[in-house]
Amino acid sequence: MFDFNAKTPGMPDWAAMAQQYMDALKQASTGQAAANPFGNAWPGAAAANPFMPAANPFAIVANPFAVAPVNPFEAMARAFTAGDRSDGSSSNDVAERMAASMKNYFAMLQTMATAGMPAQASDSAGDSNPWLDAMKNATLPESENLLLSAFRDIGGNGAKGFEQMANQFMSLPGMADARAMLQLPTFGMSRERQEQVQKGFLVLMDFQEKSKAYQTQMGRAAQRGNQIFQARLANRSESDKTIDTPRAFYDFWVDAAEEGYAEVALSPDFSQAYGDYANAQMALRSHMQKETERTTGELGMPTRSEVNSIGKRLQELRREFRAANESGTVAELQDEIAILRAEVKALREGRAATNVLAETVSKLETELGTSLRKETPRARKPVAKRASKRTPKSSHRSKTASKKAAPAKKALSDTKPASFAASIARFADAAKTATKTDSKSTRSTKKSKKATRKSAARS
Amino acid sequence: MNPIQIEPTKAFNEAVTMQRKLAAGLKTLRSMDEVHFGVTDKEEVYREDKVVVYRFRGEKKPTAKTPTLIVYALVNRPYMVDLQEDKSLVRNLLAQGEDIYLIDWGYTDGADRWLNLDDYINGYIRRSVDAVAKNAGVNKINLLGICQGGAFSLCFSTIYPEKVRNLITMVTPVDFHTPDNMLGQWSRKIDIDLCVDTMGNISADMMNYTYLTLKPVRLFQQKYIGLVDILDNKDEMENFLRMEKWIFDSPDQAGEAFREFTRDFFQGNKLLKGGLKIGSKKVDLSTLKLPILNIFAEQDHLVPPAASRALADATASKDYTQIAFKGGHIGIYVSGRAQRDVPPAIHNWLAERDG
Repeated sequence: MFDFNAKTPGMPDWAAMAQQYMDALKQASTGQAAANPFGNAWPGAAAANPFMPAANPFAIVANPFAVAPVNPFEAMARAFTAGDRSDGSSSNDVAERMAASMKNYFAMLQTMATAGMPAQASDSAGDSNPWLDAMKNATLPESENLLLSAFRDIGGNGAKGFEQMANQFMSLPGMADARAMLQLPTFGMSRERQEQVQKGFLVLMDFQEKSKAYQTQMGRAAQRGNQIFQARLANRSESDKTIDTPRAFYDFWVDAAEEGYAEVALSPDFSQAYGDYANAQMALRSHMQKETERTTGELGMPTRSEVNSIGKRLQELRREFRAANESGTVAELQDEIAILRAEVKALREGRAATNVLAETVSKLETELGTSLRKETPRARKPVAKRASKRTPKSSHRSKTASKKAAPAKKALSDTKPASFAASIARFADAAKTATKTDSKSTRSTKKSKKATRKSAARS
Repeated sequence: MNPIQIEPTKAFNEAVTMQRKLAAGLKTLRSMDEVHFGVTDKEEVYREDKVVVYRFRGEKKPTAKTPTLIVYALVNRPYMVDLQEDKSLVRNLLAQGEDIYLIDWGYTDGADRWLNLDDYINGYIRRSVDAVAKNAGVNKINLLGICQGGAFSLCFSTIYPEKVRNLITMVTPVDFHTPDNMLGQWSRKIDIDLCVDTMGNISADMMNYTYLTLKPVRLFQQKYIGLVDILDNKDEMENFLRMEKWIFDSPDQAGEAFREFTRDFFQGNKLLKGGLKIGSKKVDLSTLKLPILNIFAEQDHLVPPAASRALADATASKDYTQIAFKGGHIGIYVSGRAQRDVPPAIHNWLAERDG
């Protein structure tokens, strides 16, 4: 934070300056003429008071503000803000705003001081009152009226930022020649580019024009505020009510200024100027954005337009999704999916059961075939394998094979332990019959199983 | 007689006092802690994107059968209704026995650029209302709409009357074309399509700057000169800074919603004149039959009283009550008089129409 007593480069010795100020005030209160109490202590401070007129008909001898050409509130303003910045932290926004207001307030007091207090309020419309004239605008800092300076000093990015941006745009290379180019038709390879430059200059010129019109309206508002202010002063002069402090005087002025501003700001002319100014600013911003996009696009960077398009599509999708979800479409589809899933599951389970059965049969057949080979030498070939090899050919064949294999299964089911050998013999005969029906069978049991599964799936 | 009788000694004293306060002020500002706000306990009951619905917890259980959902404007943060211990509309309503919920819109960013009024009213608000009703186990709830949130609540209640038992609007604009409505006058000359197409989301800075220009000298200047008076008082400075934070702690405005609100409300005045549609839903205030309590501020420079008063003849409600509060747009929540008068008025009105 700012050390109030420390000597900061570029800053005055505040304590010494305050002491000088106090001394000057004391001198002023005793009617002594005083030179600038701060001299050149403040960087840039004028040795002579530029606002002090040579002969001021309203000058009062003991004017505490007549001797202070340097704005102590401004000093405070800088103290606040410089203090924050000295340690690298961000400036205190409230302090900045307050300090800026102080500066304006003091400017008003200074105006009162330098132009002199009015001996009496203007009592006729034709009278010229130097002090009131000074209040209007001429002697205020930067030749602005308080209304405008209030805007300038505390404007946020919404206004001041853009003003700076527009100024930077103005200083771009090529902008100085753009006015002349405006008169020329564009052609050739660079015609599009030239056209854009011309358009840029046109919108900039339009912005400046509209800005001027808006400032004129603000001037009107300030003028109207002063008229109200004078009228109220005149009314006051007829009553016993007096204004006895600078603050009361300032508040009195603020009330009048606000009333004047409101009156003008609600007029159609002001609304038009306001709208034109805002629209011209947007047109200029838009042009600058397009130019920036063109440049960044050429560098291969994603642009705002692209991001906007994606964002827009995404939001539309979100709306559609939510609408579908809430209208029941998605819920219905979800129900249907659940039903279909259940069916698929059932089918899978059925197929699995079929596979198990087929494997069991195949296994039994293999086992039986082996037994048969051991007990009856004539059954040399693997019966079960050969029977199953037919199935891949077609579902028809598969069915045929199954039908033909049926006697073998029946023989198996009829088998009883007591007559096992006889049963085996019967089964072997039946199996032999079935085997003979297909001479084109493959030799792989594995393939047979696969074919059985396919067959089951088809069915 | 010259009305200006500033004695040099008085002026001198004022200057010296001001100097002293400024010096003390630097010390005070340096010693200030970060300001806090939002004093009442709350729990989250619903969340969607950046929107969060909170239920506030009072020191005693609510006696009201019907919960009340506060729908705040998009342009400022909703903690204004629960700013500090002695300035909390929420706290006072809870103390009266109300069951209070609030929609916090969050801070809009680039991803919210395409949110429109349909998304806000038929989307976020509707689902928030459903969430509150479900949480409270009721079919209908009360809505308390503030400023722009009041206009949203009017739209919502007209579209979904089956979800709302009672409607309260506070400092809510209904007629945007009254002669004293500065914002309304200015906005009619704005090319809103060019503005939104250029800016995308509308920055909080731009919004705040516009509000300040409604009373430029008072808000840019006089307010901070007055600040010198309290610079040496830490408590008062804390209150000032809290309010200052709220004023400038503003979310950006979602571009499309801002375009629609400016075009249909400010420029077209369709909420009052008719022809308003939010998404695919028509909003016809003349069909609104709910009990309505309309509270507005007599010195409101943002929403002039006449803009709110227009609600009286705009609906079909046979149970319409209107309260004109002495104060400004912000004072209606934070002034001492507001703390004393507004919450009991709301509670009494609701109590007669509860369950």
